[in-house]
Amino acid sequence: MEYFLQFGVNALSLGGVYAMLAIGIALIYSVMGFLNIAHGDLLTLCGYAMFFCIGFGLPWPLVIIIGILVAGLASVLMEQVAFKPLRSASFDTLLLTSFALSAAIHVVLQISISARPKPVPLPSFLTGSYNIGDIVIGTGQTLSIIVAVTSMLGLTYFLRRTTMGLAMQAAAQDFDTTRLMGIQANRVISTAFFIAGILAGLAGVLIIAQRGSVDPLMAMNPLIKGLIAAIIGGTGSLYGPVLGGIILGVLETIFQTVLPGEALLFRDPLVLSLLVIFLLLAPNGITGTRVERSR
Amino acid sequence: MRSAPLLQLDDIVVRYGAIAAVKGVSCRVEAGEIIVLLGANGAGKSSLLRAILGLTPIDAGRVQFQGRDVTGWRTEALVKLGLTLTPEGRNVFQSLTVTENLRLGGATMPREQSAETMERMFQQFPILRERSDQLAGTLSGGEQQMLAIARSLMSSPKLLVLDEPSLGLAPVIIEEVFALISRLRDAGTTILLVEQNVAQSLTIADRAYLLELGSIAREGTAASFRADLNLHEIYLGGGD
Repeated sequence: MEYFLQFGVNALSLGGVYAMLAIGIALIYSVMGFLNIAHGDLLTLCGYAMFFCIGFGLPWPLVIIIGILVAGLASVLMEQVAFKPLRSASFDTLLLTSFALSAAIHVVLQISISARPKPVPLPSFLTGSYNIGDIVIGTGQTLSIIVAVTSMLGLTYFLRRTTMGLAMQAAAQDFDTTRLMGIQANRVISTAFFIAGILAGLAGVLIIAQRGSVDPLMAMNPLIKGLIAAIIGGTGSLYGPVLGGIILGVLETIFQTVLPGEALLFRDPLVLSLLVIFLLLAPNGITGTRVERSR
Repeated sequence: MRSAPLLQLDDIVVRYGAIAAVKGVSCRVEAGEIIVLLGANGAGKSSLLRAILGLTPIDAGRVQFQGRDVTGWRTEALVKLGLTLTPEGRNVFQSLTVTENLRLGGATMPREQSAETMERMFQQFPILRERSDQLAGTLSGGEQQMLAIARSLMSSPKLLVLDEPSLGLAPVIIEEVFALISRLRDAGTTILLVEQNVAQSLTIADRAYLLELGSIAREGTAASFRADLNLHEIYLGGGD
C-alpha cells in the first residue's frame, strides 16, 4: 500500500510536469500548426530570471512570480520576433526557425552568462519532504501535482467558458472562419503563446527547484519529454497531452523502480523504444484526434 | 447626388504566383439588393470573395464599403464594419456546441447585445434552439448551413456574403435556404450570393454577374438573365 502511494506520487508529479510542457507544445501546434522546439528554452529563461532575481535579493515569492512571467512574456516575444513574419510559411519552415531560435538562445546564454550551471537556491519547502506514516513524500513532488492539477483545471475553464478560449479552439479548427467572426487572429495567437509560456514557467520552477541550478542546455531533456507526451497523447484535445504526460511519468517511475542500479542509465532509451513501438501501432496518438487544419 | 453603393469593387486583381485568378473585376452591390455571382468552378468566384474579405491579398484594384476605401483591410476590421462571409462548405466549428458557435459569431459585440441577438437567432431558427447544446459536428448538413448563416448574422452584418450555401444539400433543404435568404433581405440585410444553382438563385436575386475565367462576362438584372433560356448551357456547360 505504502509502496503504491509512493509510486503514485512519484509518477504523477513527474507526469504532471511533463503534461504542463506537453499542453503548451500542443496548444501552439493546434493554433499555429508547428512544433515549437524553442518551447523548452522558456524553462531555461525562467531559471535565469530567477537566478538574477535571487542575486538582487528579492523575496522568493516575487522571484518565482517573475520567473513564471518571464517565461510567459518570452514566449509571446518569440512569436512576435521569429514566427509572426512567417505566418503563412510551411510547417517545415516554422519548425526549422524554432530550431534556429533555440540554438540562438543557447549561444546567447553561453556567451553572455556562462556555459556552466548557475545556482538557483529556492526555499527549502520546495525541496524538503514530509512523512505520512512510514512513507516519505517530497514537498516538491506534492506541489508538482497540485500545480499541474490546478493549471489544468484553470485551462479547462478558460477553453470551455471564455470567449477567447472558445476562439482558440475555433482557430485550431479553422483559422480563416474564426477571423470571419471578427476575432483578432493576432490576439488569439499571442494569448496561446502566453498561456504556453506560463505553463512552461510553472514547470520550470518545479524542475529548477529539484535541480537547484540553471544552465543554458538544461531544457533539452524536459523538451523531449514534453514533445513525447504531446505526441503519444495526441494534440487534438487538452486530455491528450495530459494523458501522454502521465503515461510517460508512470513508465519512467516503473523503470526507475525495477531496473537494477547499473541498468538505470537505460531508463530513457527503454522509454523511448516503447514510444517508437507505440507510434508504429498508433501514429495519431492515444486520443487519435488529429486536428484537421487550414490556415 | 446618389449615395455610394454598399459595396463597390473596381478592377480587382488577385494573383496566385504567376496565375491571375481574378483579372480586373468591377461590380457593385446596392443596399437592400440580392446580387448573385454566377460562374463555373475555377471562374475565380471564391478568390474574389476571399479577396473582398481580406483573406487573400488583393494585387490591384479598390474595394469600397459604404463609400469608404477598405482595400487591404484586415478581415477582423471588415467584420466590425458590417461585412461578413459565410464560407463554402459551411465550416461550423465541429467540436464546439451550437451555442458556442453562435457566441463566437457575436464575439465582437458586448455580452448583453450578443445574448439578445442569440435569442433572436433561436426564434428565427427553432431547430438551433433544440440542438443548442449539441456539438455542431453532429448536426445534419442543412442544420449546419443554418447554423453557419445564423453565426454570420450574430455580428449583425449590413452585407452578408454567402459562398455556395446550397452546396451538398438536399433539394428540400435548398428551397429552405433560398427562402431564408429572401427573408433576410426583407429584414434589411443586403446579400451577395455565389451560387452554381443558377435557376433558383436567379429567382430570388435582383441582379446578377457572370464570372468567366476571372473576368465579368455579363451583368444585368436577374430577369434578363432568366430570359436568356440558353444561358445555362452556353456559359456553364449545362447541367447542375
